[in-house]
Amino acid sequence: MQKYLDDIVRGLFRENPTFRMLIGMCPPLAVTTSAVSGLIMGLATTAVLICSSTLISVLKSLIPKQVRIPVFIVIIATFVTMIDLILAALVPDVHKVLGLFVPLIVVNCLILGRAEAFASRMPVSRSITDALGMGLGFTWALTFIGCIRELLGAGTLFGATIMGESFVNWQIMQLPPGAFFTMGLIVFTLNLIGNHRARNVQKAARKQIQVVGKEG
Amino acid sequence: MRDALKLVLTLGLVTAISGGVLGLFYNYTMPIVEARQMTDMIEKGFKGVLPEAHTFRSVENGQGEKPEGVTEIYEGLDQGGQRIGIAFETAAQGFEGPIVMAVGVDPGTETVVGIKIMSHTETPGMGARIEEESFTNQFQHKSLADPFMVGSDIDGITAATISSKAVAGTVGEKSRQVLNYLGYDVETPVIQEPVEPEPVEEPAETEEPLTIDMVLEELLPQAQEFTQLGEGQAGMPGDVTVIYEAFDDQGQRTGLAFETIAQGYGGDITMAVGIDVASETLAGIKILSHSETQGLGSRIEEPDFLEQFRGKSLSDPFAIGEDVDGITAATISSEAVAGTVGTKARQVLDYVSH
Amino acid sequence: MKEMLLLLVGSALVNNFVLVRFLGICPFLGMTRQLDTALGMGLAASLVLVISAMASWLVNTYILAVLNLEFMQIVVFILMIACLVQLLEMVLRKMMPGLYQAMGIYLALITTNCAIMGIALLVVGSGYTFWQTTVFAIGAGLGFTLALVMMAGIREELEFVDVPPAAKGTSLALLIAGIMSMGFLGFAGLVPM
Repeated sequence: MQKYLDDIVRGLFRENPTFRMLIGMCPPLAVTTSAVSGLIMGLATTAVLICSSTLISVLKSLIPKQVRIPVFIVIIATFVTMIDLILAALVPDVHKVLGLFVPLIVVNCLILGRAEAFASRMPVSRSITDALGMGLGFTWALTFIGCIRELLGAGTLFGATIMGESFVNWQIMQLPPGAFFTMGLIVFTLNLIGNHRARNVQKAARKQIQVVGKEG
Repeated sequence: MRDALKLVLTLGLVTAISGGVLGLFYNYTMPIVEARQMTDMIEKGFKGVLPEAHTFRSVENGQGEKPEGVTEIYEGLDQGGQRIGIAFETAAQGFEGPIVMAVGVDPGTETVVGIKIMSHTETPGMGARIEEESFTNQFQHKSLADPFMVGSDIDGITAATISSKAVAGTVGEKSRQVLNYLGYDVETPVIQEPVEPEPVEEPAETEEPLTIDMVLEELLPQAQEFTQLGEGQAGMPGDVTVIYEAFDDQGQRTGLAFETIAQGYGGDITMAVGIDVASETLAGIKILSHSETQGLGSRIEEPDFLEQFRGKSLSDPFAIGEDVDGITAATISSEAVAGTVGTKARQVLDYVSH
Repeated sequence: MKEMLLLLVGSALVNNFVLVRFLGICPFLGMTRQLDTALGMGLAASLVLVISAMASWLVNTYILAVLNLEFMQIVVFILMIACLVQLLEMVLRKMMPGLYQAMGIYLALITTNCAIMGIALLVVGSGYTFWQTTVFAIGAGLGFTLALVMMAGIREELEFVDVPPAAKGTSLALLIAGIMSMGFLGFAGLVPM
């Protein structure tokens, strides 16, 4: 049980694909003009990730080693097409905003990466929890960026007005440069926290060494 | 060799299975998608372009071939089931891809009732401005005998000539074709070649430079008579070149108009300002000439921006972001205009009343 | 002719693949530490961009559209790109070993580059003719190379600049990209769309 929980938590934070591993960077920049589009893009990617990881894990012994990458790609592409059609049927407005980036889930390194590194080696149940963790990690990252850009760029959050009348929209946040700036500052902040922690760990370690030294 | 064959076979098999599954899935979802799109088109498109119609009914048959590029034709019916107009969906080839739009036509008067841009992939702020009502409203109640040409009977959008041309041409051509297809007889107008090979983007720039005399009546429409206070007179506020006094029919001074210069981003911006003396408010302003960047600073000429000054009290701060909305990406130009108008109007009023 | 020129400028500068459309961010962040690498990657990707744009237009117009199999676009295009890259690699190795030496290592990375898949999907959705597609793809390649080379040039200069340790690497690259992207927004006035 612990293992499964760990799979999920790992994807959410420690190995968060967007903030920590910095892979599959196109969607976090391109479709995060609003929180809703970030959320839906994240969920669509999660759905593809779970479906393809499961199927690949089930079929792993049947797929010849030499063609495994092309076969993975076809499986992923199939699920992407399905998600594309489902989004077009259920949420046409959001589907229009996401546009090109729904079919481009197929080349998101996150999905092929998980298929190759995890699903093709691990049992089905662990592949599902791993995909769930990674997918949700990706989803919350996209939603978070979307929230920042929507709040500052349009003064709203999930469509509801948050900022007061006097707030002047930072239009740049809705334009391409805003995406780069937001993402750059988030990575910067995370690095700051990471460095701070590393220093604390070092200090703690040094203290311990001193203690040990004294005892010796 | 046997290995390679095995690999190709495996991959082929997987692709075939994928194709089969997707085929089934596609056949199941596509009707839903299409139905959604159609409801969307009727609700957001057709109802907007034929506002008087009560219900819409699909029209399947006509004379000859259905016009190319027209995807759906609907008739708009009133409450009694009488046909009052035709609405159809078509696409124009824009700069970046198709521009899908809904068009409503009235077969009786042979006019376009309205158009609405449904989706497009033009660049935001440039081609995308075809969505704006100031552009689409030009097509309301437009006769199909018109040429539908940007530069002659349609005002194009600055820096978006290709997109505006595409929309205008398609609306005219397809409306005529659809009506003909449905059995109405619409003549295609003989289109004279426009005088200039390129459509005029800013008519003001190619014509004689505007001077304040030409716009006096526009600025102060109530006034009957104007007298000039003299050019270059001593004591006139700096950068103010001409001042006019405006009188009503009783000889009462009602307004002032003056010409002044603001320092824009690309050079001088010359403008004419009208003041209502009694209420100490602005009657209106007009840009006479400028050399700001096309599509950016040049948007200070747009009514959306200029109309903000009409009726504005001279005691207002005239600051962008406070009481005047600036133009995106043209802050310097908008600040220059707003600031200068405010300061100079106060100075001129002061000068004239002493 | 003028239309074609506008299309070229439009796809290279106004709607730059990397800085405005966000396609190909991975090589843009990952392969721009050195100028030579960036140039090699840019040129290799440009080559594949043009070839796959033309191929996808042909496949879509003469096979998928004819057979009503447009829903297979994603599957077919990704396989097609994978095959093309393999083929290109073999051809280059045989015919132009010099070029292969310079470009070969980048080719393998290109299959899952979203710029390549992106252009394939863009051209079939845009209604371009075959020649328009080709010009569009050349412009896209030029713009892609330009963005990568500019980025690498800036990053090489910044290598020895004293920045906060937390900003080193990706964070700084993203902030620079933001400033470059602002610059590219200015090109919007260049093409009278």
